[in-house]
Formats: sequence, structure tokens, C-alpha cells
Amino acid sequence: MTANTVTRKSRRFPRFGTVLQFLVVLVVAAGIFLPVYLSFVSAFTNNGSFARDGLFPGLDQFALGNFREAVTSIPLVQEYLVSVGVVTLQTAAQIVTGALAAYALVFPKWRGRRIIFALVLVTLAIPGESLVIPNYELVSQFGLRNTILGVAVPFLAAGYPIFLMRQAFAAVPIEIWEAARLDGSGDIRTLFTVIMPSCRPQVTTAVIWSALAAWNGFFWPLLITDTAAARTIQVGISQLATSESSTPSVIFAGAILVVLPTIALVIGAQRFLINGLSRGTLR
Amino acid sequence: MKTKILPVLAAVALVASLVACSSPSSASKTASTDSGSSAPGPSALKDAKGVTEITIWHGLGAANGIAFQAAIDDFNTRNAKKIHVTATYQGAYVDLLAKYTAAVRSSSAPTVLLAGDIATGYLKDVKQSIPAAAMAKANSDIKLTDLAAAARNYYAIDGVQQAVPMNVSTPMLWVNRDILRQAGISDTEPLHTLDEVVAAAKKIKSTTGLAGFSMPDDDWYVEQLTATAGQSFCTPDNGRTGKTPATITINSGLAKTNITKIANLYRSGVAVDGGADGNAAISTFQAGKVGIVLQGSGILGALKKGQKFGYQALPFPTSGPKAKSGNIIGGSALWLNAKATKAQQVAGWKLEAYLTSTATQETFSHATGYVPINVKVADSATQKAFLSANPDSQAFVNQLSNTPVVTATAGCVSGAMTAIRAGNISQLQAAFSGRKSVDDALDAAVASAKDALGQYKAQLGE
Repeated sequence: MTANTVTRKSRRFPRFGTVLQFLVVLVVAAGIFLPVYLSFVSAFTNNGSFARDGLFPGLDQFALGNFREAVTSIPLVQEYLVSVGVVTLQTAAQIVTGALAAYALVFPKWRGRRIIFALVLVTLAIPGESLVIPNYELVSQFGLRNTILGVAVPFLAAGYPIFLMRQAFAAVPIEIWEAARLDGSGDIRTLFTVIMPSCRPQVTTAVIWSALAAWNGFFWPLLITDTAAARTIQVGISQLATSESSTPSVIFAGAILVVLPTIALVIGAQRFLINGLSRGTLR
Repeated sequence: MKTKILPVLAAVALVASLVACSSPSSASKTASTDSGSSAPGPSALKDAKGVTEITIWHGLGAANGIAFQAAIDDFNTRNAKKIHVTATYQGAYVDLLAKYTAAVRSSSAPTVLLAGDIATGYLKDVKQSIPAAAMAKANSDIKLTDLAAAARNYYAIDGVQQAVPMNVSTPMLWVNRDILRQAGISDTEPLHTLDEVVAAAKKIKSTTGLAGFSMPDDDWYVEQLTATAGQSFCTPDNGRTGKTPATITINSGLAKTNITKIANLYRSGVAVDGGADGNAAISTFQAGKVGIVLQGSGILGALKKGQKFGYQALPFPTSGPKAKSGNIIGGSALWLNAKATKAQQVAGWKLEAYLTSTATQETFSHATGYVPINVKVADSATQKAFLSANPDSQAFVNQLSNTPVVTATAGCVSGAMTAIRAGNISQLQAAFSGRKSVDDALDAAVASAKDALGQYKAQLGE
């Protein structure tokens, strides 16, 4: 048997290991995708029809009434705009503070920077719910209750973006930083015009993480706000469920409306996500 | 489940911090509120200048929230020159309580709080509210005896009415008549007792292959199984005689027998898991996959939307002596802030009177499926016509009015109920799934509840 024959046969028939890997991925993907599919089907069909007709209800069951009910039950547009405002404010603040902190932890050599970095990592282990009471009292004392600023203030900085960007900046060759400094560029200009552009995937990952965390916040916005003018969409959607009776299809419709922007964000930026997460592990 | 546990734990932590601050060492500051001697009268509002602004927080979402807001808007229109109410949805009952506790700590609590049933013990212990009995004595807007006795029973502690019940739900036995007929169970066959229900569930499974029974994994139904056995859920006396409860009783007596019968239905495959939040049980019933479910009266709204099979709401099955057994109400009640100004308190009382009036209760119950709390609604011609056209709603009303007013049906009152329910659910699920024996699961649940009650007592300084 010649080498060419072996090569042609290898290309025609995938190896057993590859097939097995593909099957495992397929099963896992199905397990992850199935609840999403169920949510979409429930949202787009009449209440109860999904439960009655199984995984593939007929086209005659297709309806948009659930979305209509979800949108009329809550001030959806207003809360969407509030959520966009909170996400913008929180994400921008976390990226700026994260970048500044990461730069300070990497480039200037000073004693104690590793200890400080360790302390930043420790904050990742603190559950957010344990900070609810002190945050509530602090924001109340500032007079920021029931405001978008009040929702965002406790989260203007976060440990994970600092960690991501610190790892990214540490992978940048020191010569690039030294060259920028020798050219007369100050620290701030070096950070935003030289270092961050060279770490675009990780910065994008940090942006996505911050945006998703801000978008998905529920308990804190519920606690600190009283009216729809300052409430996020997650709090609004929770009003679709009641303690004693619910219409599951309407709740699913509301959930779809909330999750669509995050799905779009992740699909659009997945290349950067994968790139950013994998680069962070190299150092 | 993880996402729900952390907010519950945060809520419990907030609650614990407030209870610790309201220990008997601070009781002397609020003794007058407890005795009712400081409840303001009508002149406090009459003498107030301009419009008195008050707030009410609630946990009513979806259609219930819309109906509630409509009632608030109507009240504002009727009292335009004197009182203005701002109603705010504050999440489900647990989240509402966490928010209220944080607000009390920062002195920004609402004038009126529409709190869920199991918050009764906690709200009584933190001493932030004026008892309804005191306000009723000082003002004539509400005649408490016009409110359903079983509901008043729930919100009375040591003989004193603490809050005004506003929306009441009641647990029912929902049956799919088509499946029952298919199983050879006629429409006239009685399903009054738990034994009859268990037998019917087994027959459904053996003849049709469909699940015979389901209920949500919710401790509320375990409390119902205890109360309908004529047994207090916690001792002494369900906490109703002023003594803080020390333990729960589900691992003894007829309550244990009832829970074991239900658990055996699950373990033998007759019953199907209803899930923790009730939606799975509703969906399974709507799908026509289960013949009998225990669920609250509130699911009627969801069932009315295009159900293709015959269904019926029957009274919750009992197992104890008729005079001492019955179900426990659900829903929520109105609590008046003792720290609000006197004008606000009287305005809040007027709001409570309006929300519990016959006209408002009739409209609200038709829109939401809650049972009217005001007994005089039954005299209304439109209500009679409505009940005649809606036999399931009639069943809800009948059950509420037939519930004996006894200690068992008052339910357990303790600020630790949220923690007790959380502990019981995990043990129930272990028992139903067969991971643990029923005896071990119930003993573990009681031990956990004892621990929670002990910690709560310590926070109270007892």
C-alpha cells in the first residue's frame, strides 16, 4: 500500500476517535440547545399547546399573543432603555477602571503590586449577595435610590475585567511599552493608544462579560429602585410571573425579549471571546 | 435552583438583621403600638393640609398586578383632593420582604405593605406595623367581621388581628374529567378524602397509563396536608397563643401518614414530579398528562385560556375530623406602617378599607381568580350571576366559607417560615424521588426546622 493510498483512505473515512468526539459534542449541544428551543416554541405558541402537542406543535398554534401580553403588562420600552443605560454606564466604567488598574499592575515596577493583584482576585470569590446590605446603605446615603446611577454605582469597578486585562497586558512585550514611553507618550496615552489596541480580543471579552453581567442583574436593581423609570428589563420581566398563578407561555415570551440582545452580542463577538479567553491562559 | 437560593439566603440574612434589631430590649419603644393605644383616628387625616402622599408595595405580577393597579387608580380618582397613592411592584414575596427589610433599616418603608401570608410572623415580631385591630377600633372604615373568618384567623395572633387580608387563594383538588372517565371514575364518585384521592390516582395510572397525581414541590401543600388532618403544623398551637413555636410536627400523627401516602404515589410511579415553582404541574395538567393535581385556585386563569378537556376544581381532600380540619389560606395581607405620620396612617387605613370593600373585591376577584375577602360580596347580584356561570369560582368561595376557624387552619405563624419551607422542600424531594426513606426525610426536615426556629428565637432574644 502506497503513502498516497493511505492518505486518500484517511481523508474518505474519519477516524473513530473523531466521530466519537463529534457525537459527544452533538449530545452536549443538544442538551444545551433543547431548553432554548423549548422556550422559543412556548413563546410562539398558544398557552398550553406546547405542553399538549409535544416538541413540534402545528403551525396553526403559532401566535404572537404572548409577546403582545408581555409588552402590555410591563413598560417594556422604558425598561429596555434603562437597561441600555445601566449596561453602557457599568461597562464603560468597568473597562476604564479595569484598564487603569491592569496597567498599574503590569508596567510600572513597584513593591506590593503582586499582593494587590492577589487582593483583586480575592474579590472574585465574594458572592454579590453578601454585599447587598452595605451597598444598599451606601447608595441610600448618597441619595441615589431609584436612579440609574444608584443601580450602577456599586459596580463601576469589578475584579474580573481587571484580571483579564492584567493577563493580557502582561503578555505584551515590554519593549513596546518602553518604545512608546521613549517616544514621549505618557502613561494614559500609552495605555489607550498602544497597549489596549494590541489586546483587542481580551478587551472585547472584558466588554462582553461586563455588558452581560450588567444586563442580567436582577436582585440589586429590584432592591434599589421603586419605579419603572429606573427599573431594568430583568425586574420588569419578573412581573410576568406571580406567586400563585402564571401563564408560562407569556413568561417565555418575556424571557425571549430579554435574552435576544445578549444572544446577538455573543454571536457577533464570539471570535473575540474565544480568542480572548484562550490568550489569557498562555501566561 | 441555585439562582433562586442565593436571593432567598440574602432575604433571610436581611430579615435576621432586622429581627435582631427588634429584640425585646427595644420593645419598650413600641409597646404603645402593640397595645393599640397610639392608633390615630380620622381627625389626623382631616386636619392634614393638602394631599397626603402614601405608598404601597406589593408582589402582584402579571394580570393580578394590572388589576391591582386599576384599583389603586380608581382610589386615587375618588380621593383626588385628599390622598394620593403610589403603588410599586417589588418582586415576588421573598424579594418583597428583603426589600422591605432594607427599607426599614434606612427609614424608607412604605405606608402600606401587601405582604405574603408567611411573612405574618416576621412582620409581627419586627414591630413596625400598627395592628389592624387597633386601627379598626380608632376608625370606622373597616368592619373586620365583614372579612372572611378563615382569613381573619390566619392573620390573628394571640387573639389580636394584626393585618387586613386583601387577596386570598385557596388550595384545590383539580381533576381532568376526561382522564377520570377514561379510568372508569364517574363524575359523581366522591374525592373528598385523601384516601379516595390516592385510590383514584392509582386507578388512573393502572388503567390509562397516565400519571395519576401531581403537586408542586412546595411546602405549602405539606402544610395543607397537616391542617386537613386537624393537626397544627408547628407547636405549641401553631404559634397562635403568643408562644414562639419550637418545632414542626410533620414527622408524627396523621400528618406523617398523609405525607407518606403522597410520597408513596411518587415512589411507585403513580405520581409525576410537579417541580418547585408550580409551572411544571400546571403545564403537565394542561397537557392532559395527569389526572389529578393539587394546586391553588389561582391557576384558573391559565386553565381558562383554551383548555381542550373538561376540568373541575374540587375541595381539598381532608383526613381529620370535620370540625377541626380544613385548609390554610394563601395570598397576602395589608400591613400599616407604625413609623408613618398619623395622617398617612389614616390615609393608609382608608386605602385598606377601599381595597377590601365589596365592589373592589368583586371586581378584583373576577379579574384575578382570588376569592373575595369580603363576605358581603356574596349578596351582590352580579356576583351571584358570575358564580353561577363559573362553578369553579363557586367552589373556591364554598371552600373558604366552609373552613372551620380552628388552630390547625390558622397555619403556623413564625418569622422562620421561609427558612423552614426551604429546608422542607429539599427533604420532600429526596423522599419523593426515593433517595431517602420517608421517615428519614421527615425527621431531617423536622431537625432542620427546629434549628431554624431555634435561631429565630435567639434573634428575638428569647
